[in-house]
Amino acid sequence: MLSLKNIKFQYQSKKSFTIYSICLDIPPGEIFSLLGPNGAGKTTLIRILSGLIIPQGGKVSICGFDSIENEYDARRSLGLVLGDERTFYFRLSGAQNLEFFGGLYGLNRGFLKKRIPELLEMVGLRDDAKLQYMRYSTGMKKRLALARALLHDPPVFLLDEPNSGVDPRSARSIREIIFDLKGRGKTILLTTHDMSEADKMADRIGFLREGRLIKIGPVSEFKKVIKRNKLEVEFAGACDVATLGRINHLVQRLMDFAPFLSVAYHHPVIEIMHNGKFNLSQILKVVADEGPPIVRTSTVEPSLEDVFLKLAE
Amino acid sequence: MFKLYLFLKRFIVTMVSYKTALVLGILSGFIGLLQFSFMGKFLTDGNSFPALEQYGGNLLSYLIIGTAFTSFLGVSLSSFQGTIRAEQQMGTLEFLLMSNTRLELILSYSGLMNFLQALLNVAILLIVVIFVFDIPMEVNIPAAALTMLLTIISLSGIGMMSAGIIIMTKVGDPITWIFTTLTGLFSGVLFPVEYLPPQLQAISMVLPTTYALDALRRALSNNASMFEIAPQLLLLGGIAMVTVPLGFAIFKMGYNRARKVGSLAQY
Repeated sequence: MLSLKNIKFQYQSKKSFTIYSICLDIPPGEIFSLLGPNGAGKTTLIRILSGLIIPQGGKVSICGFDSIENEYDARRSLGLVLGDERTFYFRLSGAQNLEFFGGLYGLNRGFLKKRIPELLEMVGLRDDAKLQYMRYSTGMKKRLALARALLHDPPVFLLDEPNSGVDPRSARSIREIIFDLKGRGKTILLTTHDMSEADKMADRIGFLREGRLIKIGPVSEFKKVIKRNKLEVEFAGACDVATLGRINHLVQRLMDFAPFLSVAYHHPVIEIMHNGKFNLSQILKVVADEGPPIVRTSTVEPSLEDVFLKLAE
Repeated sequence: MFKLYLFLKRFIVTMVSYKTALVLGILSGFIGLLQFSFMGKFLTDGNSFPALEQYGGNLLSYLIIGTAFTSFLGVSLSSFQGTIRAEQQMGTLEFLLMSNTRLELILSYSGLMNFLQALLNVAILLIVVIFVFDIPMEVNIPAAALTMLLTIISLSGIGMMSAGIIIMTKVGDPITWIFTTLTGLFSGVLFPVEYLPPQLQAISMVLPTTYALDALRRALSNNASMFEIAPQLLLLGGIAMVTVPLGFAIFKMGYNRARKVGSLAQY
């Protein structure tokens, strides 16, 4: 449904490729999440897929249509949400904006008259249909952007950070719509910085670093990148900086490798990455002697965020 | 037609939402008109202008038509690049281009809205001139309308070239500036071209705006028929046949170039 073959692109102002030899196939009914640090090339890749940037090498095929040779057919098959909020006419209402863009997609007046209220209802903006776009909150703007992408009911969706900057309620509503699209067999490529979002939604993940797709696979496979487990120790109260420094030093001395000790100040939990080959009671004794009383310990598998940090290194 | 209606609706909703700017714009037109009317009356009293006989002989109508023409010239030349720049700044350009509406249509409809605004301003100006200030104008409407249409189309081609350069280079293009300046000086906007030194009159002869303005004045002030201004109309038609396809081609080249370097949304 969405196919990329050896895509290459280099901005004039940069010495190296922003996108380097990317190959990818996303079948219908799949949510593929593209992860990567800032500047990795995620948004550039979305723009290439949507035909807004012509790659210097390779081919993009959308539902069998070449994005350059059959650009109008390829565009008709795409629904796009860009991360930028400024993609609507500020003085027009939400409904007027949808009518305008729907018309440009070739949808007729009668169809739009029915479709727009349906979509506004779906994204929870029915009561704000007549409100000027400039009065919308960030969450409302994101939901309207999703409604625009849905107008012509395309088979493929490119969603660039559809949930960034929105409150949990809006995020959930957007997530539910995306799941519904997946259920209807749509192909979805989304970029996100929110690891828990990718964890909850993606069937497969691709990690982009410096323009290269360095790893593709299901979420479970990604978590295997970190071969260590994580020991969480929760204290009865918050630790001060000096205490944490002492604990870190002592724990390092007890292990045969440098532990990854992550800590949230003013939060009574420390996380120790480990490989399972150490004396747990000895570690806990050091922690208990130095820090506040321990109320809970648990071993958890690494999160996608841990994987992200590891891959981004 | 539905797409044209949508562009029109977007234009009207946006224009009406800027109420102060709308009122001030109309007011500015009236103030400019007042200046011209007082200046015209001052110069006309006790004077005759033989050089203006071919245009009805009235200095004020001569100046008013020259000014209205200049405003249309500005719109024709800068409308497309202005539209592209405004869409880039609003962040909507990429979504316009992502739709499956042809690039030529998007460009034409966007530009058309600016022409409608300019037409509205000029219409108000002319109505006030004729009815409030009682300035004699013998208008041949079909001839004037056809002259305006051919002028707009032929100059729009140049405007599209300018937009193609803007979308590619992101910096101000010299085409609009050169054309507006040359027209202001050499096309007879505020004085007949016969008053220019003979060497400079040669520049007037190669500017399409000289012929357009001449035909427009004859049609608006002297009731000239289409037959009487046929040479000017044919010339403008010929220019349009060259500039419009060339304008589209240069714009498309600029658009594709911007896509190749990834700078479409940059401004």
